[in-house]
Amino acid sequence: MSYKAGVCVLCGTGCAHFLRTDGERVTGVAPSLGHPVSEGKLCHRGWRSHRTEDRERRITAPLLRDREGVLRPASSYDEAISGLLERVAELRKQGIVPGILAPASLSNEDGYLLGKLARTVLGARVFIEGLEPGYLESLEALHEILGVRGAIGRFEELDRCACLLVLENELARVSPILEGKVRRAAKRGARVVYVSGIPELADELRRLPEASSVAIVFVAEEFGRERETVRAIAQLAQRTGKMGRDGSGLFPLAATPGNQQGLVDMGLRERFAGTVPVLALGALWTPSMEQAEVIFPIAKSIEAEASFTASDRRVQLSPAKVRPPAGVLPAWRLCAEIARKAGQGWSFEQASGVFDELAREVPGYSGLSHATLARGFGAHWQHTALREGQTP
Amino acid sequence: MSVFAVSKEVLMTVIQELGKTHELHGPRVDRASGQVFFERAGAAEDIALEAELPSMPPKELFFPQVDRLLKYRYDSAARSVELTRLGQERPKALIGLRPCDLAAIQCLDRFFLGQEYVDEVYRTHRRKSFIVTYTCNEPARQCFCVCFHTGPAAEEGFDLNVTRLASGYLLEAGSEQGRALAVGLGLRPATEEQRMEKERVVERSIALFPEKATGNKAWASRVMNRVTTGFVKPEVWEEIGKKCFECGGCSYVCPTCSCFNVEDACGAEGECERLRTWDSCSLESYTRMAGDHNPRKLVEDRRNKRFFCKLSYSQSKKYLRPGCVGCGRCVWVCPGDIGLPSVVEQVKS
Amino acid sequence: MKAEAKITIVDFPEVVNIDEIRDEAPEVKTFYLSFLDPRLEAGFRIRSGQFIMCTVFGAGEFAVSLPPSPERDRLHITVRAVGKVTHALHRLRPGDKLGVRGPFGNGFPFEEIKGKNVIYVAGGIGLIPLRSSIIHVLQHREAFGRIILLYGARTSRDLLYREDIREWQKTPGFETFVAIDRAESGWDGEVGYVNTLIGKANVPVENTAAFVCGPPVMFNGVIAELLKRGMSEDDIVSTLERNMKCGYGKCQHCAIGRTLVCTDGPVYTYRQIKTLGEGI
Repeated sequence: MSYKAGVCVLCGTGCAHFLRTDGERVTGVAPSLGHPVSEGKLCHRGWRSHRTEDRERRITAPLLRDREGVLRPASSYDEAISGLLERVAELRKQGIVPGILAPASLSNEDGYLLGKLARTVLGARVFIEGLEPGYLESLEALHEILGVRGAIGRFEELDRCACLLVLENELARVSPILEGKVRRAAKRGARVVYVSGIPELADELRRLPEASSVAIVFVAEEFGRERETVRAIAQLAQRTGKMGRDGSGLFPLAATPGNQQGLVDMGLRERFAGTVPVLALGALWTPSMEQAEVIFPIAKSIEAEASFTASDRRVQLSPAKVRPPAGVLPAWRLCAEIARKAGQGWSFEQASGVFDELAREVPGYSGLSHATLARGFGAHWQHTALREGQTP
Repeated sequence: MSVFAVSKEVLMTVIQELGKTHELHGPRVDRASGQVFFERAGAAEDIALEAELPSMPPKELFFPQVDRLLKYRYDSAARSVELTRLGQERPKALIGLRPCDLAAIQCLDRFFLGQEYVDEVYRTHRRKSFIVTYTCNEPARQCFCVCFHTGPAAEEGFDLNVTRLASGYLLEAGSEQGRALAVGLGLRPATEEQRMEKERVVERSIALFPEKATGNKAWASRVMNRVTTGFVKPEVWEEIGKKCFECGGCSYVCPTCSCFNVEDACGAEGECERLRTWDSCSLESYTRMAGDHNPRKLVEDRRNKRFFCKLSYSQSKKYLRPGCVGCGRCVWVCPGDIGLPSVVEQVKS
Repeated sequence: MKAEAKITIVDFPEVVNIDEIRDEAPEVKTFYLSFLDPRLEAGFRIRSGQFIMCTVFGAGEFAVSLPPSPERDRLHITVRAVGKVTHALHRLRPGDKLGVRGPFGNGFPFEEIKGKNVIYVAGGIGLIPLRSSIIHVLQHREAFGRIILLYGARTSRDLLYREDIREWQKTPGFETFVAIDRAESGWDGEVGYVNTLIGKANVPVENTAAFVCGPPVMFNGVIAELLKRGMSEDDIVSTLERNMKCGYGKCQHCAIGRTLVCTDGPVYTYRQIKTLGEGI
């Protein structure tokens, strides 16, 4: 079929869609009618997600900076990998921690193996370009107060909650899909209030009837900038005693494109702040890559089987839809190659194998696999700190 | 018109016969999700005639989401340019097209092939098509074709119309090429009994439509009148505008919407393609000019324009009939719940 | 309506050479063009008021009015650099190539105004579409009554078609008034907004057609003045601009109410503009 299922990663809502493809290029997009969150809708950006005119910025071959400081095409992946390992060794000898620059569009599999490569093989730090600061702060605050770096509840709670509180005011702009759910909640009789700040939020929660379920949504870009603010939100949510129950939840929403939640889950939480990286990975050229010693192209998310995690912890599988340019690998496979060359015995045949390992290592992901994700519309990773019906 | 009756097996033979000279296209079900698309089919068996209305409109076959019109390479050293027209004429057989979607294609035909100029791009995609429509024995969710006289059975514009009977199918030829195919395959003429059964199937289907469709035929026409004469208060459009998220979905899934953008997309080395891509009057950029003057900047004005175009301008100029065929897709995709039926209700009250 | 063998290049652009480029004003240039195909070069005919879709290879297409007279004139376009495509155009040199589709649109009335007085009122780059009609009418001077041009620009540097203006100022039977907004040293022409020239020129309103083109504020001011003097809304004509993509009635971007500017227009009377049903 020319329409192939996929996951939209332009914000944290986690809509599913179909992309029309002839194997080479994407030629159209369609909404996913049955998806419990997007329910047949797409936002303006989602409807244009097949229109990415970035051919001019596409990287298709590895680049290596020579001893004169000039960036040149490497003669082969082998040469580039050897070059990388040499430079990493040099830096470490000087006591410098090497930096790796990667984009926020990495999948869970990419992020996991890159993190493992950095930690256990290269002794390097990973910087993600495009991680949303507000979202990172929000997740840290939630971790401090509620014990988990992630939303409490699933976006489906918005369909069931008796009370819905939205911290104004950007939800409609960031996610017409979730805003649509909020408006439908009002139509079905839920008490929906757009609160302008913490005092008003506290007020609403104080007035909440005992039996009432409550869902709280906020756009992390706005409210997550100050960790203090999100701590206060989390404390108020915790005090309701309803977090973890049906129809209740606390939802930070990532507005910036990329696999924001998934990368944090994989342990990649550092934003790129200008450190000169020794290694840069990317499908598309960005100015930040200019100073790297070694640059590797990677496949785009639609060019490889990959999983992504939405802001409500829904992990979804997106099958490969178009072929990557000749020779270009998904980031996880590239990492495995580098590790192999560095003497590690990593052997991953497919992305599902990478996922199986990350499911064992990453808290909350246990029990998930590509096979389970392929059924229905993915699955939510579980809080180890917060089981359903209990609150910390 | 000639009328035939066939079994399921013979119907498959008819489709297979078409498959020898045409690309087969028909409703296909995505196995994982159950979602239906009107897609290329390798064999007759791949086509799910009973599937519900395809989620994306079949206009895609003649008016693709992204259409490559031509390519060129500008040599700035030699100061020369080579232009090549793209787009091939490929015979297509549309199998199992629902009557509402056929009515929409007829609208697009009248629009692209008529008016002041014939659009060669559309014509190239459209020529050599063979259309086999499929009667709707019952309405699916959100169907309201009866309000716009586009279903539940096609009356003209098809090559063959197929209706499922208690045992077998009735095939009506609606064109010379349809008749020739049926006669060439030696299909058995239908009996009077079978023809009557088809009529009953259609009547029963109509009766299953919800109240507003059958009980109040004027539901749509009264609103069309108001929209045409301008008797809709600005407050109504403002209310509707507040609910609009400006996503463009309604235009993309509407089987009669055909607005497009033209853009030149360039890759490395000056290789450029001119693309025709779906556009939507819902978007603010639609009327924005270089220099930023935008005569239709307000979202309520854009909502007003959409429904004026769909319910009035279509009738008077574009298609000589209303632009809505009652398929219900806009209801599925609108995050603000202002698909056409909802707007009609809001304008009425 | 005269029957003519008309060439219209509909959807596949034909290539033209940029023969010459002239600086008209800051950010405004005139490009003189000729078709590479000799058949087109010989047979391409336009009407005043029509437009073409011009391709800047590598950038895109844009709609642009045709300023040449339909008779005895070089094919050219006058363009202000405003967006991505027009800025790319301005970077080109003589010898570079462009693509052309068209001509599209209805035209300025010509047969219908024979025997009448004709007033042209232009503000800034509004002179561009009017130039075609001005030259055409002057080429048939004997068929018309008084012919008047009221042209205003912000400063003397913004005046377009200076050679033409010098010609026109010397043409007997062509009353020309050229104004700039504020006095400048060395400028001995009129000073003030163009609608103030209407009184100065003592324009006729009986048996008269007025062609008005310019930015919205100027346009509204001029219309108000003409109507005040008793001119009929049917005798005032202008040309509308829209975001156009196809130019031949299919993409629908130029729709205003019930009209499509690329095929019903771009030339409309003031009465038609008022009753379009939507703002311009």
